Amino acid sequence: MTLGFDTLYLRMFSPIIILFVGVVLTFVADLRKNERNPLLPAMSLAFFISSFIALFLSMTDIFPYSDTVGVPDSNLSTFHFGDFYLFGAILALSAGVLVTLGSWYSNWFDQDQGFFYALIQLAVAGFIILSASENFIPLILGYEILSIATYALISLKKERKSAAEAGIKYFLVGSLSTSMILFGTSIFFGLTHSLQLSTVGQVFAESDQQVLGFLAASFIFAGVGFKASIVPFHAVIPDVYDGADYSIVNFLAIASKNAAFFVLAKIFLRGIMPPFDDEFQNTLAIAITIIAIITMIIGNLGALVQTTMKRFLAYSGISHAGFMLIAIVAYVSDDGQVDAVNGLTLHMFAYLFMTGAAFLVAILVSQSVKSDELYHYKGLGKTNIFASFVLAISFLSLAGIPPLIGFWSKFYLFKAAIESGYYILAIVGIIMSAVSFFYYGRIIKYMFADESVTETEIRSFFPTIFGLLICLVIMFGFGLWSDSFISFSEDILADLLS
Amino acid sequence: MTTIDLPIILFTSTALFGIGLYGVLTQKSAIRILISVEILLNSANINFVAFSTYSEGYDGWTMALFVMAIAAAEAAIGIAIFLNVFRRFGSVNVPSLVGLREEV
Repeated sequence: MTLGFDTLYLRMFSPIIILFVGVVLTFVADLRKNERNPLLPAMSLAFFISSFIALFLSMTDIFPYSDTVGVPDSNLSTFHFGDFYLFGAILALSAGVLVTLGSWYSNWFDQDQGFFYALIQLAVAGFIILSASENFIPLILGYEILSIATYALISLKKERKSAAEAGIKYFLVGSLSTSMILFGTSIFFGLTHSLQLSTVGQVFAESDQQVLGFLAASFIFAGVGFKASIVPFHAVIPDVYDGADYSIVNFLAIASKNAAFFVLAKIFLRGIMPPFDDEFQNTLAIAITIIAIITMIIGNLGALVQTTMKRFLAYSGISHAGFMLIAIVAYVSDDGQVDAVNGLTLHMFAYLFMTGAAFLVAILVSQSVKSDELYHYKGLGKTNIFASFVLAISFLSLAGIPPLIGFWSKFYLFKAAIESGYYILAIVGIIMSAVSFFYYGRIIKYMFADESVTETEIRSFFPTIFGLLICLVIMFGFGLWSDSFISFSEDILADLLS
Repeated sequence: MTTIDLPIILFTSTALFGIGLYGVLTQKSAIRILISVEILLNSANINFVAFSTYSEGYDGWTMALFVMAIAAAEAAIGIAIFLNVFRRFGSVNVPSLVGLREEV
């Protein structure tokens, strides 16, 4: 029996279909209102894991499909299921699993628990759609599915004033950024008469409309830059993190931000930035260099002076957005291209688990002490040794200490900057990494050297411990054996250039 | 059948984009900002439709339909968020929302 064209698509879309079924079933299962229902997080986790299994079954040759049909991967198809798609889907589903584990016993959701898990699954499905897309239409559509789900998530806790305020701020700036992306896309469409990512890049490389192209790329960059928290567009991000609930901020930090960078990588690396070596790319690279430097400086200096955990992690995220921008600049030159993709993919992957671990511990602490001031972390090493150990490891990894994964991702990013000739990026990046030792080290000192100020016992729950163990294994595992990831990211580069 | 020249359409869409951006940046009421965002989305939509009459394939038309769907979904969720803010704060004026800000 040979699989036809339609069944093949059904097979490749199975991770997304499973999640959409999960959205509906989670809504239906939430019939007992005003009651905590342990079934809902379990269902959410089950759908994420079955989506994971479907993803690997669809991407491997265990159940081979007919060669006469082949994976629809020509440059003219709307979707492309290559290694870059696999990477994006792994990021999306890992973020979903971590958020579900972190919110399992969360006391924030005494009602609306079903909405929370359904919307998380919807947002993850949007991330997978955008990572599979080869055309601007599903790219923007997937990004919007994710965005609209997060607008609803932030203002989900209707009783709290801060959640309402964070929701309206995120919505207004987010919808403005969507219209920016669409207007930029419409200019590209006018210039190239196509919405296919690779066609846009190729047609554009031969055209002479450089000024309009620069304008369109700036519009798209500004639009995506808001959710990726890149500096001139980051203004409301710390406020939103402050106002929303911890489990949702966790999702914003590890999924929404990676999705925005994924869109940026799709449009810039797959579309308009491949090394054609013309004036347009170099001008764009210089503009992004300036933005990356400002982002690294503002993010790191902002994190130095914060007093609450959410704002601290928000500024830490802004500084890491600056590090990831290095890769997009370095991709322009032929020499830096390999290490740019190595650095970008490894840093997106590393950032997810490092920040995810930090948020899981922060959720535990904030549940016990009902506050997210940083001084509550004093003496945590004595009251909850495991949680404080994982938090210390994740901060050391975020700062870039050698055996951990965060060192290798920054290493490849700075190497790419040097190879492509943008030395200033490597210099600023290394100085700012040194600055980051101060503020990450300050909290590690709070936990292990200082006396406790609160008597509250920090309880840990089994799902959170399980999530922390996953993060720990990945931070050490891919730190000690980073070559295994690099061979995967070289496949991703081949996929991007195909 | 009379046709409109492309420059006239592009001038209209760019003017709409300017009006929408001006509205987003100057208006205080969240409802007015939402209307300005809808104008921005529609200016992109005019571009898509105008350019697709000059190119082959259906990419532009499809995108225009999806942009309309996105605009409708954003308006729906936006009004729900505004309603919730109105219940908590008594108004939807953005400058009056100052609960969250830097403490340092």
